[in-house]
Amino acid sequence: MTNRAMQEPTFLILTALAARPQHGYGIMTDAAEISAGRVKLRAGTLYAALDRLSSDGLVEDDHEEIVDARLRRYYRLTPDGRAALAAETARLRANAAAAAARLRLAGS
Amino acid sequence: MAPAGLEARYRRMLRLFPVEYRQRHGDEMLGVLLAAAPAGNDRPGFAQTADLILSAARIRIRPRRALSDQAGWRDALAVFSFIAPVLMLLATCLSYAVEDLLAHAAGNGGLDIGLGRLSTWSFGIVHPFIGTILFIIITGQGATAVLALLGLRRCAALAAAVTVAYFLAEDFVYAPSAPILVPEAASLMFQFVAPAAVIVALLASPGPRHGRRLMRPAHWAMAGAVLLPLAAYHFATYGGGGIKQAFYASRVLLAIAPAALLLMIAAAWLASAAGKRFAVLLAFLGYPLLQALVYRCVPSSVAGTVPFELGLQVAAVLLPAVLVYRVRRATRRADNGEGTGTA
Repeated sequence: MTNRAMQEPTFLILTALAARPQHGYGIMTDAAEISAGRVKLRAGTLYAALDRLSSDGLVEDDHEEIVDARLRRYYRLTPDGRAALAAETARLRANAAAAAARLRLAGS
Repeated sequence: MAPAGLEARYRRMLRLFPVEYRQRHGDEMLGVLLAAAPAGNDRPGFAQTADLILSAARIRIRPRRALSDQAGWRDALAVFSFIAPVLMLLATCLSYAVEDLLAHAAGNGGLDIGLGRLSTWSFGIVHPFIGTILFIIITGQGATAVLALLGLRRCAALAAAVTVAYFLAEDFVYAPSAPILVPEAASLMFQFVAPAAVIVALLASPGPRHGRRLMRPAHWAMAGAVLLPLAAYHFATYGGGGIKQAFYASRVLLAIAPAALLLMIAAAWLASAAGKRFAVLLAFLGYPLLQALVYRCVPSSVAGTVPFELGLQVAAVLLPAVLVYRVRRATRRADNGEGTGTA
């Protein structure tokens, strides 16, 4: 997992959960906000990703509540999920730094 | 408040997902779908519909994901540790009962209890009942089944180890003098693969007592489907020479294995995720049977070649190795508190 580049929806879901536990709709709106509206997760994709991340041990259930007679389940990052997000952030930062350095070189 | 028509349509679309997935996420997904729906819409949009259909298809063709659930594997192993020793025992008894019936039909009483190929330890012609009892006692099959039924998993594992040790000793003592009619794979399964899988299941799972509580009708159906070909191949491997030859030459074997396979697939299709994992484990017992079919179906010029033989034997080693790897990983992760605790 940490050796391969993370897919953007996965990165956005983990980022949405980094600060606090969130429910599905919260993750969806947060992911759209983080990506400035560029990535719009839909319910099928979101829950398939949450299911996979849960199986991989990166995300786990936090708590459940009933709102308007509907179940709302909150998810949170596991320590492994936090480490995976940190590793991906470092990878992206290194790539961005390398790209910026090359651009400076070309511009000078 | 979302329109009732929209909710009903989403509910219908959610039925595209597998039942277990729906039980876990259905309510949440419905809430998210309704919250995300534009105001006034009473029909799902095209993009939302396409996303649900594609996601449901992906979930349905993603069996490996479901199979990686560690708690599910432990539960499936527990069921296997309960039923596999009993299946092996029943297959032996059924096989000898059929042999006895055929011997009586041919006018010969008694059972030549050569204890498999170990002719040097033969008890000679004895009453079929006594012969069968002798076989299951000496090979450890009976003790394994009884101890597993009693829930004594470590003792049952020890008895299964006796089975392996017995057949290993037999292989050292026995010198082949007649052409082998049944592919080695079939006897390998009775002698090593099945007892080894039983030992792993007994030691790595919560045990047969837990497995007995998890038994469902689909599990019984799958076990029943495996019993018949198991008994048939036990007969083909250990049955009396002349009868065995006639039986192996007949088309009965060719018919039994595919019929059992179809039954297994049907039961596994209807079973829960834990039941499907159990079906994978049961397939270990069926694997050499399929190998025997392969021998029957491929030309003899191919069946005798080194790559063909090597491929079959490597597969016979690889499959238990993958099982052991999965079990070890599952146990480790469960010990770290990462499992859900249910199948």
